[in-house]
Amino acid sequence: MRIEGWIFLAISWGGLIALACYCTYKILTTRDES
Amino acid sequence: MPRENRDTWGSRLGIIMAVAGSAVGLGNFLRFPTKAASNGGGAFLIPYFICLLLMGIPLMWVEWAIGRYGGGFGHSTAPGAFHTIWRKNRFIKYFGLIGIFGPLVIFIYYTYVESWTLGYSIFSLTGAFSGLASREGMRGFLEGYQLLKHRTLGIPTAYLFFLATFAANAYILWHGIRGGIERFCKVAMPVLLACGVVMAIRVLTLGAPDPAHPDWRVDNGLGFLWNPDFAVLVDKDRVAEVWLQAAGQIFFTLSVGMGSILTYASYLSRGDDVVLSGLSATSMNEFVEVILGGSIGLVGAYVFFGPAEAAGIAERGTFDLGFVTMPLIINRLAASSLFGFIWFSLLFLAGITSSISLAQPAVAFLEDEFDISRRKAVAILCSVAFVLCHGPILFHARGVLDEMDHWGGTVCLIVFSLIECVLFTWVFGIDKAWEEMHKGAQLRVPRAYKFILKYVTPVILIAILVGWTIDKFKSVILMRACKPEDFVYLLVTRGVLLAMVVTLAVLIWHAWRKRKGALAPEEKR
Repeated sequence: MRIEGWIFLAISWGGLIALACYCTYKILTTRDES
Repeated sequence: MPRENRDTWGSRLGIIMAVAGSAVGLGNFLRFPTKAASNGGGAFLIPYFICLLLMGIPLMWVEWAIGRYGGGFGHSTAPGAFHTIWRKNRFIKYFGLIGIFGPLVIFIYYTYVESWTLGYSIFSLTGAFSGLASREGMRGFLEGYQLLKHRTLGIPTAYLFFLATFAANAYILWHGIRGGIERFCKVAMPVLLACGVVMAIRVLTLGAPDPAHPDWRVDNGLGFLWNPDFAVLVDKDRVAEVWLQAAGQIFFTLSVGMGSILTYASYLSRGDDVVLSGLSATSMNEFVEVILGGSIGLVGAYVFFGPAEAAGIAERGTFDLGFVTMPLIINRLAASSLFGFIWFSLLFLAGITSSISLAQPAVAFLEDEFDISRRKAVAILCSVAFVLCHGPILFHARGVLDEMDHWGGTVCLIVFSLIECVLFTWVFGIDKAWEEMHKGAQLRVPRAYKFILKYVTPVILIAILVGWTIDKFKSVILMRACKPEDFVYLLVTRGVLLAMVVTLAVLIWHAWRKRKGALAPEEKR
């Protein structure tokens, strides 16, 4: 795989994992009112 | 007034799992990698993520917010929700029928496709295709299965698996939102994620399995999908197509513009969060699609069959990857029965969590607008859908499934998304819409999204619709791409779809007429 491919993969995977972690953190630290 | 015994979600995790389950489908594992590889690899991710940020996520919030708003007035489906937003317009409720018609049409053919994954998961255990090593052999096996030539106890095997799949869907729907859909998704989604992780790890640790081709390695397989080909984004003959494919993939993957999310959100209370929940469901779907979906099928195809064959597989699309290539890959793995079972069970769970969400709007419409019990509504819906499912089952080879997918799974999505976006941000008003979205919100949406919701998202949707109209409308309406021998079948399919639209319009008219006497004066329109 070329270096640009690794960069695209790292940004995409990193961004999505960070978003998933952020959402999980927010859900766990805020009260569920439903 | 809302019915007193209206179903509700048991927990926020329940609705997030259900919406994510609705979004995560076969397309995450089969459609995304083929679209990305055929449209510039890593470069495809640029329009893909831009469409996600400017169209997918805003539409997700719009649909959640409209659903919760309509649910507050006792309407779980688009006709009622649209009517509560634009009471002065007596016709808007008829536009809402797309939010029942679209998912119902998809449900009718999707259940059959979903049943193939159940069939193949059992075949993996029994070794029905374990001796097949060639592409032709595996394709012949799939065609024999699809055309009902394989038989078990004298009955076509595909039909038996369809019956089992349909019964499973009906069973979950029968038990309602909390006892059926939520309970199922809370188990199915973690299992699906676990299966996806197991398959991704298995493929990513293959190394270079063919000693004769040391270059056919996993990292090069990832490169096949991720190496950016920027030429597609500057080539004026291809750039529009790449953007359309990226926008289309976002639509399909998030299940926005169907009406299912609107219906699911309608079972929330007025103070429940929609912003964080919508973003969480989107995040889970994207994790499954880009990280897991992008690491299994095409990477496996590359390491076993090489770059030329992998390119051909990407061009041949979804079904070839899922039901021809993946079984061939799995046959070459150690413990192939186990991995075959895991792969097809994963697809089956992805399918069933989507199909139950597709049936729910029709069930909810009967429940809410005709005040009948859930079980009666499920019985009516399942009886009608069961009969209609026989079209794609019996005439699959005639293109009936593709015709239904075109109208229910493509045209309706774009039109419905545009209607709900314009209705919410222009008719309801962006300030009211913003306030409505943030009721009970546990996350503030950046203010830039106020502009995006009002201008950018509708413009993108209009551009897609205009692009489709210029490119396809005439040839689709005149059925120019249709083979002469399929003409009658496709014409009848269109007739049935039209009859469904007319029936839904009559039902809406009847429901409003019936309710008129019971409504407040301002609602009598």
